[in-house]
Amino acid sequence: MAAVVAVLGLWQASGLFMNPIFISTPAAVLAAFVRIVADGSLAQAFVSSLGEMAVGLSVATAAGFAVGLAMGRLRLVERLFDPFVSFFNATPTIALLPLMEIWFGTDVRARVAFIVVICVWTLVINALAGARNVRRGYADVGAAFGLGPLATMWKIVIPAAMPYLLAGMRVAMAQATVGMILGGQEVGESGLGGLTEAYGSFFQTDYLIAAIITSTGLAMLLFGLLKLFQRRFYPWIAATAAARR
Amino acid sequence: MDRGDRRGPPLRRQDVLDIEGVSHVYETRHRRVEALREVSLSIREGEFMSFVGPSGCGKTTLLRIIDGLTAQSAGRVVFRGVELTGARRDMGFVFQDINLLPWRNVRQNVEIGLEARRLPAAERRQRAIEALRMVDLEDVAEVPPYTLSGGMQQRVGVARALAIDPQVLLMDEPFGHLDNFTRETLQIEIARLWAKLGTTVVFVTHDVDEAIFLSDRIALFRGRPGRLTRVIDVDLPRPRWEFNVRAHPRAIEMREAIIEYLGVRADGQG
Amino acid sequence: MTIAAGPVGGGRRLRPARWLEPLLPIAAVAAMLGAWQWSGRYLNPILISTPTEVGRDLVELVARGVILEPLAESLEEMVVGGLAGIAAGIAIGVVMGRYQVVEKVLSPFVNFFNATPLVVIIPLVIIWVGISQKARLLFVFLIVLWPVLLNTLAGIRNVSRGYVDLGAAFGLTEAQMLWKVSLPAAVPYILAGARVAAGLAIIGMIVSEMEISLTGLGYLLITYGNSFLTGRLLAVVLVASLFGVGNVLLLRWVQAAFFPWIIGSAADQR
Repeated sequence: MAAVVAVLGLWQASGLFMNPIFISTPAAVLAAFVRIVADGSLAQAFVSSLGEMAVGLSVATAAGFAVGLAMGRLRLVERLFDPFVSFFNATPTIALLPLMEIWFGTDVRARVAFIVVICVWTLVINALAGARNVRRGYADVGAAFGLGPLATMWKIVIPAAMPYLLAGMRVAMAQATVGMILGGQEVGESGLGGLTEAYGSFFQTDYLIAAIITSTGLAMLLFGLLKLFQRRFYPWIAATAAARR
Repeated sequence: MDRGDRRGPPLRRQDVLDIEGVSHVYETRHRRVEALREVSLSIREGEFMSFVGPSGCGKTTLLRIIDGLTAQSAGRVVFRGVELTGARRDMGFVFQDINLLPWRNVRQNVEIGLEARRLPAAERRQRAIEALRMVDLEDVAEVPPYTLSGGMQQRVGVARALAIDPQVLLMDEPFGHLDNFTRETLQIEIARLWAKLGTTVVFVTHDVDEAIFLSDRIALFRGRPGRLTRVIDVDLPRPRWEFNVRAHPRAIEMREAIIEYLGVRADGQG
Repeated sequence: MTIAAGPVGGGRRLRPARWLEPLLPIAAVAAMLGAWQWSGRYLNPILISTPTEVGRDLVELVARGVILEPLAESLEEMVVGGLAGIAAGIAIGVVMGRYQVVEKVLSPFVNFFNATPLVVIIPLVIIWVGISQKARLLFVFLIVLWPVLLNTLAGIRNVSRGYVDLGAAFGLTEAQMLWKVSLPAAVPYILAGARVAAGLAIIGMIVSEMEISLTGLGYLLITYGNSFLTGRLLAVVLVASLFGVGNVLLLRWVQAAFFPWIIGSAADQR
């Protein structure tokens, strides 16, 4: 804590002898922050970014988990999809941004599609791992007590795979954030990404840093929400972590 | 059907579960393993039958085949005259690893067999609580299973199997992972439950004393390849929790005979 | 294991025959390529082009050298920036792991930057060093730094109790403990960090090229995209993919060749 204060102090002091263009000062950043909150531009960018991420993540999660779980349980599906999933997972999917622009034009659809394309592979792979690594004993319980294939998937495979699914979501969120910002910077000037692009090009470092910190805040907010979600609905994951190691 | 005061040899009951020529062979990358070779055995209605043998002799595999968890390579399992294929509706299974689902609380775990039978929620709840009452755990019905001790968890496992009102209860070394004190307590509890319910029980264990304490008959298995070698009658009086079975001369005789017969050395290899 | 040993209601029915299995992925890819090619007849080629066109463009780009120079530049940035970031990450991670004071001080900043989607920092980097190769190098360096740092830190901190006791029992000095025990034990974590770093380095490279420069693969991507030259665009994407795949394979080789004693992959600390 003391360190943070010390750094802030140093940072502020730097403004005395350094051109504020480089790293500005905490005071200026704070002032800029207040200004863009007041005039609503930050709120608008924040909501816009969050909205795109929410849609993109939802689509990626639904599709990714569905495919991944199917791959994990049905060998046929796994063999068919594996070459594509492995390939795209190793690809720097960032490279597909121009392609998204060609398909969807330079608007929100391209940005959302971009987010989906970036994070769906991680979700597939984690769902695949989760479905495959269901403890033999749990699967036995399903079989011994007469659960059909759908009931087994819903009542046993998916809950058992939750640790993997949630871990995948954590990574996917980080990836989606990057995609969202990049999309905002490149495809139209939208959301938080657009703000950083605009402030950057006008050398408004104080506003820029305010936008950067807000972006980090957004990412942290999402991670925090996921953690809360896990703690509330899946407390057993933390409680039984030692046994699963 | 309280058999608490019966003495002498068990009544000759009808054969209800027939295992006919069951074999199980599988291949790993390095070799071909014959887990079971042509096992044939008939289990009687209401009896307590144990499968005893050293590790790797196929007794767990056979139990799983009876319950349909593993498919046999040859032979068949016949229950009340009907050959069994697919899911077993009337058999409860208790696992060595307990396997309570951590995302469900105790009661929900017990209800799982009832869900498969599509019973309405109120009835499921009622039967689950009844089953928990049989093992004295209705107080912890709403807690997560991982907060319970190993012994309590396994009792929940037993309740889960009993909740479906099974015709046959299959238990796979249920006390194997528990400490000695808990094990002995649970042995008595199982003996009492069985005396009260009269269900047919097939019990797998490598602990000879446990088998002698609990069973009407003991089926002896040897390994490599897994096969049934002998079935012996346990002609000790019941109820067995009312005297020191271990000190009973007949029990000592049986124990020595079994151990020698199985050729079990100190390290448990057969 | 036996094909029979699966949940009764599970994937047994849809399991393909053994001999068919390796062919399925090939068939799937072939089918996809076929469908892709065929779609060119009905769809505007701008949308997804066709395999033959992409192939032709790829060959042409390579032959004309259009792709080689950007490729070399990209590669250089990635390697230099990446290695610098990895080295710094390991160094700082070790120091933080070794000296609790340093860790306490730096921790809030490290966590902040790790949570930041570093793409936002690009305009800032441009302000600092202008639109230049230095900017791209700096960006790759930054993007790689944090995961490596955190993973190294986790690795050093997670040196198990057993090893620490070992050091104490044999009277190792702090420095010896660090070099001989902590660091080697942290290697699986560091490698996991390197894996992440490799992926991020490629991303960082392409992103920085899209935004900061007039050269490199990223620039080609933007240019072809803007000109709707989808065939060439996809050819470049393919090259980038090969980069990515190559990275994964390279790291796997490094681990197998230099650290064969690591079994499986260690905890990923993201």
